[in-house]
Amino acid sequence: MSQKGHLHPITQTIEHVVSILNDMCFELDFGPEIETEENNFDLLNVPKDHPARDMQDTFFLDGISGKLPRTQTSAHQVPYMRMKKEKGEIPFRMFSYGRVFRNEATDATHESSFFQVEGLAVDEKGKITLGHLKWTLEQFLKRMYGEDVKMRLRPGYFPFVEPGVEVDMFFAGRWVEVLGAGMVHPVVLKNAGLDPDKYAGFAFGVGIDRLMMAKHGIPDVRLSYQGDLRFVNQF
Amino acid sequence: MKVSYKWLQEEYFDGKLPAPQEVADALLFHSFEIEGLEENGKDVVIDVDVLPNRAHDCLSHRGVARELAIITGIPFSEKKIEANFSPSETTLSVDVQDAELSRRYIGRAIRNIELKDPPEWLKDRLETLGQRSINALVDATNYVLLDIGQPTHVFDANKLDSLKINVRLAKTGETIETLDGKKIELQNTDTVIADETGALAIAGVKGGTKAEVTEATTDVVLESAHFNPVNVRKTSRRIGVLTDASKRFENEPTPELAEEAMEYLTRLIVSLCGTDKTVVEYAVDKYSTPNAQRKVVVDVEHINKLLGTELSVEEVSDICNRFGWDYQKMGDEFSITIPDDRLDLASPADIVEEIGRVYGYASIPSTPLPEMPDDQSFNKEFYYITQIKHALVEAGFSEVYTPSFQPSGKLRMANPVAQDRPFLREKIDHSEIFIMNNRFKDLLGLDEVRVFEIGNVFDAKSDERLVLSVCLESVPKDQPLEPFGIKITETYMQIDLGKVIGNLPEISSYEGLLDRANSVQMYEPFSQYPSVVRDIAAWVPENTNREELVSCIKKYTGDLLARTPRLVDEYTKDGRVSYAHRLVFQYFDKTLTDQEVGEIMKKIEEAFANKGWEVR
Repeated sequence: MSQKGHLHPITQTIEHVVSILNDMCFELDFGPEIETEENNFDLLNVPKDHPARDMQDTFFLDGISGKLPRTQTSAHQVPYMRMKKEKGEIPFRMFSYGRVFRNEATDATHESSFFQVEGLAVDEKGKITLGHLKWTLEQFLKRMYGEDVKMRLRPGYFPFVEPGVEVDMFFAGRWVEVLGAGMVHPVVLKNAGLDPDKYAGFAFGVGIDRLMMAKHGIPDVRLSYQGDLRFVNQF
Repeated sequence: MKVSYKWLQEEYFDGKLPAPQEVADALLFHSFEIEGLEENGKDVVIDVDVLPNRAHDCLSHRGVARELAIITGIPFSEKKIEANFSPSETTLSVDVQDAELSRRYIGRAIRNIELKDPPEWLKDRLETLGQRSINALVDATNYVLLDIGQPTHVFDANKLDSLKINVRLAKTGETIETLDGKKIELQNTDTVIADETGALAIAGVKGGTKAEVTEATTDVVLESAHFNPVNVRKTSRRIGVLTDASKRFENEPTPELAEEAMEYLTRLIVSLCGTDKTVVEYAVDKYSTPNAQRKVVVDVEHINKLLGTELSVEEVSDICNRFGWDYQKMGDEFSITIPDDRLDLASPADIVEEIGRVYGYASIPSTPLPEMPDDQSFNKEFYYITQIKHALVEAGFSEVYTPSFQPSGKLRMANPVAQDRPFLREKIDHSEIFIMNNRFKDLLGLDEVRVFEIGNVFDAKSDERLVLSVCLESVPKDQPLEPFGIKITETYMQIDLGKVIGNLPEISSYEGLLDRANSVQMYEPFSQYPSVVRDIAAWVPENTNREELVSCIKKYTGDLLARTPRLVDEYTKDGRVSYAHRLVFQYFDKTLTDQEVGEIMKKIEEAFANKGWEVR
C-alpha cells in the first residue's frame, strides 16, 4: 500500500507545542492520568470544600478513594518540584501534557476528556516574574499563530497561582480565551518544600484542543474524538 | 451577575461614569470577566462574572461599584435610604442551636405596617435585571441583596406560633413547602429556621409557605444572618434549589454585613410600608464569633520581584489609597489593616495581586527569559512515541483519538458522565470506528482503512499502561509490515508500548523529530449524508490523455462529486487502453437518490460514446 496515513491534528498541535517549549529550554515530563487527590487538589491549594471537588466537575473512582482521573495537568506540579528540589536542580523549566478529565456535559466546546499542556518554571525570587511569564506566553502564541498575534492578560482566579491571569488572543476578528496562568502560589511552593521567600515561579495551562481548534478553524471539539477519518484525513 | 449601569451611577457615584462599554472594559482588565452588555430601555445591563475569590464581597452593585471606583479613580459616594423611627423593646427571641450553623443571626420584629404597591423606581430596578416585582416586602429583600449582597428574609409574624425563632438542624423526614410550591424532604444535616412547631425556611436557600408574607401582612419578622457556607451549598445542591441567596451564602459574605443589611432593610421597609402606628423593635443579634482583625505586611521590593515591575513607594501608596486601606509605611514596607469584608486578603501574595491588577497587567513589561545552563534533558517516551507515530503514518495508518470512557472495562467511575460509558478503558477498541471508516473508504479515496491510536489503558487497581492499538483490513502477505520495527501480524493488535520503549536506546536530542511540516489545512465541514459509488470503465485510443476522461466526467457531475475521480484499473490491449474510474457522489445537505446518479451516469456514458470511447 503506497498511500500515506494522517497524523491527528491534536498530535500535530502537540508536536508544535513541544518544539516551541523545547526551544525555550522547557523540559518535558509526563504525569499519570490517574492522580492522587492530594496532587490534584490539596497540594495545589484547592480547599477541601472547594466547589471544584463537587461531583459535577471531578470524576471519582468506584471503590478506590484518594485517587481520581486528574482534572488538570497542574497535578504534576508539586511532585515535579519536589523531585527537582531533591536533585538540587533549580532553576528549572518543565512542561507536561496529556489527557485530563472533567465531569461536564459535552457540547461543541467541552469534552469530558481533553488534552492539556502545563508549563512551570521556578527560579530564585526576583529572577522569575510575571513579566517573564508574559514574555513566554507572547513567544508561545507568536510561534503558534504568527508574529502579528495579539495577546492580553486580565485577572483570573486559580487557587494554585497568585497573581492569576487569564490570557486572551485576538484571533479571527475577536478575542478568545486561550489559557490560564500566574505566579506559583506561595502555598504551593511550600507544599513542594520550596521557601517562598527565596524562590518564585510561574505556571500556565493551555487546552491543546483549543489551540488546535483555533489553528485549523475546527468548530466542534467532539470531532476530535470520534475516530472519523473524514475529519483526521483532512490534516 | 447582572449589573445595572444606571444603578451604579445613581447610587454610588456623584461624578459621571464613563460609557457602559468603557466601564465593562475597566472591569475586564482589572477585576472580573464580562459576559456581555445588553441595552434595556434607558439602561445598560452589564453581565459581570465575578471571580470565585471575590464572590463573597462583590456579588452586588456596591461591590462592583467599589471596584470601579478603585480602578477608575472616580470617587465612591454611597447614598443612604432615609427613614425615621425610634426602636422599642423587643418581643422577639432567637435561639441558635449551634453557632457552626449560623455564626450570626439577627432578627427584628416590626408591627403595624401597611403594604402598598412598590414605587416605580424599585420595580424598574428589579425588572431591568429580569426580576419580577412581587410585593413591597419581598421586593425590599431582593433590592437589598442586589444592592449590597446580603440575603435577607421577611416572615409574617402573625403566622408564627410565637415570636420565637429557632435556627436548628432539620429532623430526618421533616418536610417543608417552599415558596415556589415544592414539597421538600429535609435531612438532619440541613439547617432550618423554625418556630416551635415546624420549619419556616431552609436556612440560606429558600423560604417556606408557612410564614409567607402577602398583601395582607401587617406584622413581620426580619432576618439577616450568616449561615455556614458549606452547609448551604450541600443542601441547595442536594435538593436542587439554587437561589440568589444560596449563591451569596455559599461564598461566605462577612457576618458584619448582616448587621448593615438589617438596618438597611428596616429603613427600606419603613419607608415603603411604614404608617404612623408602625412599631420598629430593637434587633436581636446572636453573634458568636466575629472575624479576627487581619494585618498583612508586604514590602515594595517583594511586589516588584514578583510582578517584574519597578513600582515606587509612592505608586504603591497611591494604589493602597485607592483601595481606601488603612496602612502604616516603614521605608518600603507596608503594614496593611485588611478591611473586614475582604476575606480573600490574608497574605503578601494577595496584596501583590491587588497591586498588580490595579496597576494593570497591560503595563507590566514583557521580559525575556534568561539563558538556561546547557544541559537540557529530552524525553525518551515522547521521542519514541513520535517516531512510532510517524512510521505508522508512512505505512498508511491514520491516527485517531477515541474516548477514555467506554461501556466496558475494569475501572468504574462512581459518577460517570454517561451511564452507558462508566468505565475507563482497559483496552483500545477500534472495531466500531473501523467499520464506520470502512464505509467512507471510497469517499476518502482509500485503498484500505488503517487506523492506530496511542494512549493509556487502565486496570482494576487504577494502574495505567501506555499501549499502541492498530487496526487494519488485511496484513500484506508479500512484504512484512514493520513500522519502526513493530511487527504487525494481525488485523487487530494492541501492543504494550511501555515495554517497547523501555528496550530502546536513550536519546540526547529531538534532532530531526519535529522538523516534519505540520498541516496548515483549515477544517472543511463534511457531508453527513450517504454517498453513492459508481465505476465507469472505457476503452480509449492509447494516445488519449486520461485527464480528458476526467474532465469529461466532471462536466456532468457538477458539484455532486465528493472527490476527484479515482483511477481504479488500467489495462492496455491492442493499441487501446481501458481506464476504470471510481466516482463518489454526495450532496452536502440531503440524501442523494440512485435515480439521480443513474441519470448522470447515463449522460457520461453518452458523452463517452460521442467521443468514440467504448464504455465497458
